[in-house]
Amino acid sequence: MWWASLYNESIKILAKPRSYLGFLAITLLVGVILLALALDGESYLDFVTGSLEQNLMIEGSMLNGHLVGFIVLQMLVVHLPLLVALVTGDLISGEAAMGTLRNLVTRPLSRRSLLLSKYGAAAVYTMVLLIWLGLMAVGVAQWIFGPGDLAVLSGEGLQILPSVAVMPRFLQAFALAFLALYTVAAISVTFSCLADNSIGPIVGTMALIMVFTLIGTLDVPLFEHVRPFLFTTHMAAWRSLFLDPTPWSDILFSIGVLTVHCAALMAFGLHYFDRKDILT
Amino acid sequence: MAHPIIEAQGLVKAYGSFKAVDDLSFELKEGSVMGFLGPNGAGKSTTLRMLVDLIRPVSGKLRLFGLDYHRHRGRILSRIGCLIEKPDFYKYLGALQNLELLGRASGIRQPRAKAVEMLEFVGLRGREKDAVSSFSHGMRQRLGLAQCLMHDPDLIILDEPGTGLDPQGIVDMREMILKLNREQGKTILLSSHHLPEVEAVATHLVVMNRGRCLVQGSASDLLSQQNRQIRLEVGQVKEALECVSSLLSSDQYRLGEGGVLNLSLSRDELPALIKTLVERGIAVYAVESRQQLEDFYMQILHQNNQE
Repeated sequence: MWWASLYNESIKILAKPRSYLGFLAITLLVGVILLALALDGESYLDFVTGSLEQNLMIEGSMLNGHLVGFIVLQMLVVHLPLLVALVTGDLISGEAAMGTLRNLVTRPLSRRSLLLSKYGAAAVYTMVLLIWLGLMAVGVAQWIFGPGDLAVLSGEGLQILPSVAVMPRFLQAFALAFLALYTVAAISVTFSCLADNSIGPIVGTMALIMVFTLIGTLDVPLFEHVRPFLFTTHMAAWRSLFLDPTPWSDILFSIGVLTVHCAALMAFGLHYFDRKDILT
Repeated sequence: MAHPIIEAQGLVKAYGSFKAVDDLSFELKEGSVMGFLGPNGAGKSTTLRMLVDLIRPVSGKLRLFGLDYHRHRGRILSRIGCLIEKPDFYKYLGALQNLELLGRASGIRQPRAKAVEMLEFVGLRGREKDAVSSFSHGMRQRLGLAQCLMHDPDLIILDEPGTGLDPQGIVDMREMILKLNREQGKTILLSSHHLPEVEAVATHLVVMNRGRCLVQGSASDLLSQQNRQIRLEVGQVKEALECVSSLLSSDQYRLGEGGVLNLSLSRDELPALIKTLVERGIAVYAVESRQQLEDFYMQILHQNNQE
């Protein structure tokens, strides 16, 4: 029954026009960035590496598909939560607003299974959106600019990853980015259980991200102890996977924090939805 | 002997200090059609929502098909089909897709075939692929009935199924309800403000007000307890009036406009009166019985509101 429900949820997501907004937005944004880098990428790199050129000489061009993919990901990962929340925040509350939640809840499928299938559908949507971003950012960039060594600026300076080592790191980075984005999806689905309109959960999710990001960036002693445990602190943890040596302990901590967030949100959502009166 | 399908004992549903349903007990037997009546805000919809687990009672016991709701929710809901309030569907999907989706959620193995069968049953064949957004209210109501029957339920709960339907739609809905009950043996719980429709199909009645059950029982028993309102059109009004006055008390008859006699009779008094009129050579042109349920319902509510 759970699989049947997951299939149903996938059909509904596929049939809704708003589901394609994210793909359209990614295509447009990546297109604009790729076009800009294709036309004037060298100037952009000169601007970024200008200070380094006083100490070292760079021969040849650092501009290649891997670097462009990395730049695109850095630029777009901050926008993805909104695109994810736009669809996942509507999964329960949208049905409540439409009145169709009644039809689902009065079926033999348990409420928990129903909600778990919604969380499952949110995971599938987030995954597909990320795969699309990966295809656009890394795949198309490689096709246009070709492969090459990846130059990454870190706190310790400029690091060069050989071309053959880059793709596995991209795959790992996408897996970690998925976990971060799924945390956002879990927040919006959980908020969706609390509301009977679709705007509230989307706005609520974005507001929470903004508040947590603010807490994470404010240099206030009070927040220092909280900061490592906020999911927003680990949203960009995927970037660490391009460092050499890879800081695995930090990455594992990020995975732990994000997983705990997802599990806690889902547990709360399941508990709440199981007892909720459906009045719409 | 028919088994009880619904056994509700002391159900209470409160929102803050307001009790939407207050100590409600009733029973619905297998194979019957129960008319669930009451004014707006009586607690009917709240009760129906409790029966299909949309909301949970704060106290009381609810057993369906002899099973406890807490332990056997899935088994119970697999035997209930419901149309609660207005029929809502995914407007961006077609009628067939909507039914398929709900069939899958009900655990039906071949939801498409069943959906086609149900669309045929409710007279929507040929509109399978049309988006529900293009459907009229009547068509959505029919689709609502189709989704309710998808998994071949034993108990059908209908909340205002005739709302917004045109006269033909109301007649069709009534015939479908009768067909489901008489030909397929479905037990039906029908909540409606349209009393003539309820009277035409109900075998049992529950009347609610202010969250409480005022009366319940067999429709024929409840309605036979009160006098019928009869409109009698006769040839010789003066003689007829003399005859009536000799048989009935003065509060049981009244001469209306156009020489029509308005009578209030028990079930047994009517044949005797007609027989006497005919024996005395008085021409009886018409005997019309007004809706009994309406009078019964209004009387019950009036009494309750005065208490």
